[in-house]
Amino acid sequence: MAVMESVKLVFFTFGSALGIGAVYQIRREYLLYAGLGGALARIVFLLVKSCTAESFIYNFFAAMAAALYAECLAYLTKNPSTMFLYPSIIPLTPGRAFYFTVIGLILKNMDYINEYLVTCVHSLIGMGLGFAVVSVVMYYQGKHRRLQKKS
Amino acid sequence: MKEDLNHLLGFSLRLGEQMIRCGANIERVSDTVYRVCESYHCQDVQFFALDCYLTLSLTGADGDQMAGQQCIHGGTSIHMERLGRLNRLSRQICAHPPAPEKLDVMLDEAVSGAESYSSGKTLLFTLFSAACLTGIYGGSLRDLSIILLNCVLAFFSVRYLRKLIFNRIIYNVVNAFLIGTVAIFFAQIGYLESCHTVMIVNSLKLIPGIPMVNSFRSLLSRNEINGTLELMKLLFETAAIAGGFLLSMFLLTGSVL
Repeated sequence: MAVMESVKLVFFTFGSALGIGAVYQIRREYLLYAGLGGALARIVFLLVKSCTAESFIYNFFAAMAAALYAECLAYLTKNPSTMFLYPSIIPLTPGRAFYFTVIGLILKNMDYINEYLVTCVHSLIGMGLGFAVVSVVMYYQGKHRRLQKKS
Repeated sequence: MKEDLNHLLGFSLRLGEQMIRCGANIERVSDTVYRVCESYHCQDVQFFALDCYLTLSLTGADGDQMAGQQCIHGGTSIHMERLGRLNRLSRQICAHPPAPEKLDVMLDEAVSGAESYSSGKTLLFTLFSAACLTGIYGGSLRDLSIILLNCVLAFFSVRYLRKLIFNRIIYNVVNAFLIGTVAIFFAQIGYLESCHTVMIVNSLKLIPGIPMVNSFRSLLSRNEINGTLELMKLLFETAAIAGGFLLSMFLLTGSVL
């Protein structure tokens, strides 16, 4: 049952990343790659989540996987990595935690705030850092290579 | 020659502006501008960019100096195909630098030649992604119908008000208000199974995930000014979503408590 639920989640994430890719005007031949990026991020998310309940950790690794995938595809297809990165961000966004945090703050409901605020902040920071760490490493590597070429 | 340097300066600023408008991150834009200018053997290139402002100063091969700046009004609209074309153009220029006076024409061709999906197709893809997100959050068919209705409303309202709502904060307030109003109305008449699911799925695209990633990237790439500004924007945009929900709750239920 849990496996079926996970397969369903991966499938839906693939579809949503593909749809968002099209909304972001990614060319038809790359749409499938955008969907696969989302699916890969979800698979890593679910795998790491089965090992730890720490939302920072599983969001961090899922985002890293998506960013690595985007960088590899960017290198292979000679396109900007953002093309494959952005569609994976929205399905990974912790919507439920974010929404209940906002509602908790509006309604001054301490139960919601206690339960969701920390999860929301940890997830967002984990996700942001996961994406950023990979792209910053690639950025500095590119810069280093360019300087070496020059010298 | 001073004229060539002027062409290169104008082109580089316009290229940076177009890339930012299409959704490129600042580090990428900066890297591209440096590469293009270096391919024309500029002795010194100094480029500073925020997502609303660019400044560039160039020292040409013969020692001429020139500086320019560019404000970016009207916000960004992510367009990956156009960004891909701009990326290919910059690669092409770096590999075989053309005469500087041809640069503007090449840029115009790259921008105007980018194909977009028709409005109908974009709407269909928006609905498809919303349906998949509903699956992720476990919404029922009734919830899905209202989520799709909200998507259609948001799609047309944004298109209609595009020139007025270029400010992301106002955009978030209007959209969150719209989503909240429709969801609460259908929940009150007993149609919805989960009002929360509708609001979560419809607000997912408003949550500033992309600015957050870009702000972390800027902070880690030693571009602290842009990183801090992005983080500030992120806070305001998040508060705007809360404001929109608050407004809809207040108007429909008469109270926020």
